[in-house]
Amino acid sequence: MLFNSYIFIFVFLPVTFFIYFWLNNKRLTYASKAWMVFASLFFYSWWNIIYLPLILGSILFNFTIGTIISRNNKQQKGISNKSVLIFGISTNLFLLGYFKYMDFFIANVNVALGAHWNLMHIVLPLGISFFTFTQIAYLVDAYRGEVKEMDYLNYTLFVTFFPHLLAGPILHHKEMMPQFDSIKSKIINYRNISAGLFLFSIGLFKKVIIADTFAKWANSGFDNSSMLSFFEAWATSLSYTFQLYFDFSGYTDMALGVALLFNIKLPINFNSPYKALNIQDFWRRWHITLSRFLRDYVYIPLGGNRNGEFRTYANLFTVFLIGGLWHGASWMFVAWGALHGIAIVIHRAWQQMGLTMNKVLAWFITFNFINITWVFFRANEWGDAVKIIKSMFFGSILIDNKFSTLWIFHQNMINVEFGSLVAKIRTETFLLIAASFFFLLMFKNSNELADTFRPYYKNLIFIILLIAFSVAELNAYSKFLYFNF
Amino acid sequence: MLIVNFYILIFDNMKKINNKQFSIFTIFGVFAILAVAAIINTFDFSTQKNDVLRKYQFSKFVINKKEIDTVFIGDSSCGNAINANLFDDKTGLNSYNLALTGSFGIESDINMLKHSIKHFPKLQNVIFIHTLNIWGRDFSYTGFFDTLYGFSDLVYYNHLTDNNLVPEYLVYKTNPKEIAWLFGKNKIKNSIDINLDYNGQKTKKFSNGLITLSSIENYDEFNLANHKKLVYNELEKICKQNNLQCFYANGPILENIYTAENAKIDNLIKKINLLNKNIIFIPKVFIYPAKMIGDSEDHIDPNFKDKVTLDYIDILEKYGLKGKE
Repeated sequence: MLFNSYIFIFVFLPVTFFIYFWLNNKRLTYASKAWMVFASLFFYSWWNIIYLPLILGSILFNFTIGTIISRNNKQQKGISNKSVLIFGISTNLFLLGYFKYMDFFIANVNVALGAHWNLMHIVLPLGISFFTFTQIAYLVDAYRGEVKEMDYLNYTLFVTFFPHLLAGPILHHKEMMPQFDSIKSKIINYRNISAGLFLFSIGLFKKVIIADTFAKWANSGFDNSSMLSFFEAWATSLSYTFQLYFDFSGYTDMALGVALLFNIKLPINFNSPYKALNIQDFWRRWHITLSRFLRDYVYIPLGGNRNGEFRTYANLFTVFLIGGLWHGASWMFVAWGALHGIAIVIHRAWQQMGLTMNKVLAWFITFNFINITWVFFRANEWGDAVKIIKSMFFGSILIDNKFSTLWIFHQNMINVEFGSLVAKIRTETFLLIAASFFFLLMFKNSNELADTFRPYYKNLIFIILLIAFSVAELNAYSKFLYFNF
Repeated sequence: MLIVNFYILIFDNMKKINNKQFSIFTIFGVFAILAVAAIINTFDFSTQKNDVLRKYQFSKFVINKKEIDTVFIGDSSCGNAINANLFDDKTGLNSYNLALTGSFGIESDINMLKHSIKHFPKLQNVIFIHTLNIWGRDFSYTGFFDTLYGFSDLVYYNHLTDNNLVPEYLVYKTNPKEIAWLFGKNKIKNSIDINLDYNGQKTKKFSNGLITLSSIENYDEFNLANHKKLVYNELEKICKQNNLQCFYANGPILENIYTAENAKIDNLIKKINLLNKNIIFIPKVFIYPAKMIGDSEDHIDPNFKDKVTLDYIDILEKYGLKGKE
């Protein structure tokens, strides 16, 4: 089920909300948790019920492993905890690898060995990357003795709680379950409801109105055009850069808003990433919970920065390569991850040398690096990425017909093409790109707005209008980009 | 200045309300907007061009000539190509041209056919005419719901699309755009040209040289979408169940487009031909030069409507349409 659908907004969410608090009101707290689990599994199964056993199996397996680890921690006997943990993580990675990377693996073996193995065409179960990573984090935390969960229902609730189930944020058990167990979370809190509705409406608007508008232009440039002019190529890449941000951060705003209705505060995932002044800064602001996961469960176990400068660079690069591959089974994601890995290594070397840079220049370089690397992230094939990037630097410049008689253009000094600017490039594309720059760079982000939210009438009118505009554009085809990862 | 004062009046002087009021007012506000939209939709207050045409064509069911035995169902390529009165004169049949527009999709043909069967007890012939690129377009939910025959069809025809029709119907019914459409600038009182028995055409036409092919940036591809196959199958079922003689003919198209895209068009026609069971499919492509084309590449100029109607009668008779003596 999609957050941006009628069935979610007007049926699923109200029904889930009222029954949950009605049960809590009757002091049936265990039943309220069971109801939330049921609702979350229903939410998950709405897309395709055949993957319900998969997520339930994964939960049961990880709960069992987690319980064994916790008991071993206590009793200090039996199989070594490290072996159990390795077994647990390996099984999770095998599951993820099978569903997400098997066809990629077969295709590459076919190319490398000239083999002709048939692809399995496995459909990626929704949210598998997210619920697998969430559970790996749980196992590691259990191994470290930071969490202990002996109740299967509680554990299932932690993994399946529907606001975060499909596309994160990637959660820690210790930041979720105490909230569910708190007495305060069992009664309707209008402060949280109004802030949640505020955040939800902003997220819905970001997704339905802004991201989906950018999507049309990005798709047109990436998928439909054979050759792009200079301006078209930049419009295409910037459209995707903004589409991805508004899509994913919009989803996260909705997730945070919905969770808040149930008095659960999820960690933020975005903090104005396009304001970043360097690549490290960007990764502290973009998909924060994934960065946190990679730092805590990959970078630090690899040795972090404790084994000398060269190993630190190697670890950083490896983390970004894994981060790239986590997004999908394609060499394009690997290339994207590698580019970010190289950038983070260069940034660290720059820092080590004690060099500084003017802030405006730093922002300009960082933003453009991110914008260009998103081209690799979005492109289906290497050729598509090259097509866009080539046009971004060497594409013909479209000059309005009325300037065609100028001397400079007769000398072929510049790669130009004549035509109607208005006909070739949509004015609204550039207006929306300019507006996006303005709002993203000059204004507070949605989480900052939610933190300072007050229930004024102007906010009331603002969010009713946001919801009304968004609902007018709702349709069932617009899935979130991060559902693919 | 007025705007600034208005802003201060509305926003700055407003007091803070409590969170409970805020939450309740938000939910109430959103539902109020949906309710108003639903009222506008239910009472069919909409005044967009497609609504005006739909109401005009549906009025033919109400003023119901009992002897109607033939109907033309299709899109604007049909509406602009077929003169029902001339068709009656030449064939001795009694027909109505019930063409809507391409926005309604082939899927609305199911509803138009059912309405026709209900209102015209002597119905024998049904002639579907659609522009060639309609086969690749998305399912038109609005078109299907705007012409809906009965609520049970929401369940019965659910298999036609990937999305569940009942929630889609709710989306359609409570779309806040209804409010904008009703009170917005694009209201149309009457777009119908009674002489044409269809929407009037714009002054810029291919025939007067004010439109050329190069000014058409993108025309749709000539594909066959899966859901269109299912829709066609349903049309065939209805034709068979009601012992109707049904024909499907392609709408007219600008010669230059066929020249540029003939391989794709011929391929599409081959694919449609394979779907055939009970509907008599006429594979001919009705190609006309720019001087006979009106305000769109598949709209016949009104001056040539009669000539084109005769072309269609010719072909239909060759494929078995029987006129009355």
